[in-house]
Amino acid sequence: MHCLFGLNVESELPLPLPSTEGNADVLVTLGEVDRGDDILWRTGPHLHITCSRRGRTIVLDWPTARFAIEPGRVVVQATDPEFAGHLLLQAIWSVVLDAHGRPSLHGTAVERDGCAVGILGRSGSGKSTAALALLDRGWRLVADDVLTFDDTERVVPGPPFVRLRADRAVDRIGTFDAGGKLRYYPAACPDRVPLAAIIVHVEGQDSRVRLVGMTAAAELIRQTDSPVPAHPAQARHAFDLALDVAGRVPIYAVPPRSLTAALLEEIVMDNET
Amino acid sequence: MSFRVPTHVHHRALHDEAVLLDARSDAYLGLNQTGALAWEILAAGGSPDSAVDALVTAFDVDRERARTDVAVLIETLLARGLLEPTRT
Repeated sequence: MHCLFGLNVESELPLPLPSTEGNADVLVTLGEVDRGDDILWRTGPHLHITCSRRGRTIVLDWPTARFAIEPGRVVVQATDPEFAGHLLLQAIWSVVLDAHGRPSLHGTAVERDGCAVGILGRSGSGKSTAALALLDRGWRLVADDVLTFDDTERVVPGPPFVRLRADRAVDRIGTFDAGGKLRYYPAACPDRVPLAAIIVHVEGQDSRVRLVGMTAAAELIRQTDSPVPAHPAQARHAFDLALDVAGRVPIYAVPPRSLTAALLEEIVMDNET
Repeated sequence: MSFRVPTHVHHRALHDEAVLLDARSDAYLGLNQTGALAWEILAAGGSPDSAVDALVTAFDVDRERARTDVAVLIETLLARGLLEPTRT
């Protein structure tokens, strides 16, 4: 049994996660998966992913792995189990979380002295670089890629590693995953922690700005962009998450790739209570 | 005349503003401080005149300007299906 972003998972697919005890919220089994009848979307031409629905089951289909997703069960058909495990940890799990009515944000959270900062943004915007800069200064990892929250808006810990592109992985020790990134294991925070601030990398932003009201909520809603309609009230859940978090946590917009460790620490210190 | 919020509309106050979600289309609408105050009154079943009174009191605007703002807001909300008249 493993715990993945707050849900206990019993998996026939090997997962690079610590063991835990308890009852399973989600079973991951290996088996045949048929495509859904109702195609919801597909990507292309270079990245081939199809999303379809069969009854209440969401089917996500990569060339080497297919997943049938229901709230309590994920069936995996894979020619490459390692790649399937890699997909399960992030892309598939955000859909599972949505199916449980728990939307997530696309970002990374790091913690020091019981207080965390969330760094959000699209892939390539500088999240991992900024988080790594803090981890190198003694901060601890809470979650990478997927931020999910408990009822009091504390961040729920994720897998204890950060995935680094090869050019950022120089001189770091870890293991390369099936997606070609290095799993780097920094010091990890095992506890749920409150956020002192959220920083969002926003394209076109030319300076650091504190976001309030609808602007803050809209930016968080953009970061919950789950393209898979896994739950009938998904938009409502994302709406509630964004407004809960924006009402409690200061949100800043910054230009992509602009964050330094010193600036991040300054923002956190300004907002620590 | 009074209004109510349709069941497909979810709304929350945030930092003196209001954010509305149309669950049919997943579209969002943000209202600024004055719009949020008028929305709060209209959404609770208050009349347009009550909303005008509240704007005049809270923001020191002249009544005619407040009346126009409330009328435009109501027209926008009705057109987007975010508010509907109460049938009496």
